[in-house]
Amino acid sequence: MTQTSHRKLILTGIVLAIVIAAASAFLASGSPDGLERVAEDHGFIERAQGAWYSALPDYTVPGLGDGAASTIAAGAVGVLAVTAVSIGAGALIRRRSRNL
Amino acid sequence: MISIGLAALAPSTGPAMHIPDGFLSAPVSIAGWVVAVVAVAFAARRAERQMNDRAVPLMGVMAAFVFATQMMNFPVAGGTSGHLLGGALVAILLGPWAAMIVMAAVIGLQAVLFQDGGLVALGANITNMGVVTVAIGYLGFRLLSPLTRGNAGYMLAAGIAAWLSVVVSSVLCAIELGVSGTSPLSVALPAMAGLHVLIGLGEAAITAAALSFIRVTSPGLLVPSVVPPESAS
Repeated sequence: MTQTSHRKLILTGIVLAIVIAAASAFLASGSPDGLERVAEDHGFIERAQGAWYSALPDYTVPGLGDGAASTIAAGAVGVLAVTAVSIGAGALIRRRSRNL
Repeated sequence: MISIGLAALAPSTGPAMHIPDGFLSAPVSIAGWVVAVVAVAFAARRAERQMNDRAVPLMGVMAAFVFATQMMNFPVAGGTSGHLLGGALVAILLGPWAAMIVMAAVIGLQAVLFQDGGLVALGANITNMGVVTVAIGYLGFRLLSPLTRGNAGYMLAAGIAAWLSVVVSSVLCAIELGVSGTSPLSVALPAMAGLHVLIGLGEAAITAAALSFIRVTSPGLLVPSVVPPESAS
């Protein structure tokens, strides 16, 4: 695969993921998920401790409120961050494998 | 009626919840970290010998997809939601070693950037959702896919493996809650497994659909992007 097709693959993935993240701002179920439901039903949800700091809490950007725009922005940041870290880790492993 | 319609479209503010801090005892949290660190370090070494060039951009794409899809909670029975874990899907596409690294990156950033899952509990979250799902999903698919034929068989094998990966992961989480003294195993195990038997159906559907989509649009991606150990030079 060429460098260009690599770039196209990554770009397609990022765009698709941001579309999914954006759609989740409108479509995602707000009901508690499996673990949260069990914790609520069986009385240990109050044991949960918040983090000692908050960056993008509840998939929102502080200052943008908790509306769709905030979720979409937080989702886009997350998509870019996980893509960068995974490609970075992969590239590091790949470089080491070349040096074997 | 209108207000109900609008409420359904209102942005959700109750997103996915990974294990927060406070649910797991210190020994269980430490054990989670030990398993996660050993598994990811081992995966990195194994991936070193097995990855080709195409695997690197695919790791990025799969991380983006898993992260975004985990935001899309789908409703299951009784006012509960679930979301994709993704370990089985990534393992089928990238092989288990690159998949564990991708999953650890996603779950790690969810904790650090989004406060989804505690930092102390991060090891257990990576173990449950990034190591166990990958191992079960990959092994399940490798065992089942030779028994099936054709496109439908491929999807069925992937779906069953994905379902199993979620159920096993939830059972492990219940055991961690039990050992931590947070919830008795006799309560946590049936509650967690019971819900995740349903949530796993969503995982199966999304995994099969995603593989089906890739099979139609870019079948080249389904050729394993990792060289099997025996043919690696």
